[in-house]
Amino acid sequence: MFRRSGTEVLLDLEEIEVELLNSLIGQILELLHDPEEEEHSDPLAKLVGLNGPTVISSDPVLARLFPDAYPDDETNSADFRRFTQPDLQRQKIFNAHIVRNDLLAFPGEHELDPANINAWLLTINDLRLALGTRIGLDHETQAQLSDESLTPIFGIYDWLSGVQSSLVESIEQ
Amino acid sequence: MSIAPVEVADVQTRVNNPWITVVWNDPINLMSYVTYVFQTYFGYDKTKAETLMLDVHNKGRAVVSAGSREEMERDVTAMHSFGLWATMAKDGDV
Repeated sequence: MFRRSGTEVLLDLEEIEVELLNSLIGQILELLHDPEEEEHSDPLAKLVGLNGPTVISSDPVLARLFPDAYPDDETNSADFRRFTQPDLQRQKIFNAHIVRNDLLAFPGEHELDPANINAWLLTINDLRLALGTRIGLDHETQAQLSDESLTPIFGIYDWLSGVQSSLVESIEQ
Repeated sequence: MSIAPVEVADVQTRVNNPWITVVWNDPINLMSYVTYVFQTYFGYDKTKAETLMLDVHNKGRAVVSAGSREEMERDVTAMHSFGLWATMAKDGDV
């Protein structure tokens, strides 16, 4: 969890938490099609990737990370997506790499470089959005989770919520 | 389902700005995080940011900014980069 000490933002992580974060970051990078994570990435596809997609993803997590900007307006949503999604995707990948690099200093308690705090905030939020969407979280399931196979994921999600909450508290003025 | 009317603090601003950015409620983003985003990105004070966050939470959505179409595309993109579920519309269409 994060805590504030004077002007410093400190993060304390156990070894298993570092492993967990690394694993989740690896998964989200794969989902975001980070070229470094894709062994057989197609150079042509990367080239075409300069232009973003025009339709919302059929993957619920990607649809949640990159929603339509114009409800009920496919044409404008398509244009918006084509121009904005590649940049957003690159930002998310960039932030995830910053966090992964910072994690090399852990376990233990360490001060975070203030310049990297935003990357942590956004990456942990992306991980929560991804997990929450995967387990089909809605206002009803928050109260009771019927599918027991999802219980471990829910535990991870809860832990991430605690981490995010402690980070927001640590940076709030 | 009926949706409560959307309120925005500065009515006069909306008259001169035909497009709006709407942030929708979602069950994942933390209330403290949403408030933080409204404060840091829009520069709203904590009271206004919390009021908008509570509108999102309780009414299902809130108009968080108004302006030209280009300005709202920038705001919606920013909200998406923070992981908030945001859309834009011509004022009056929502």
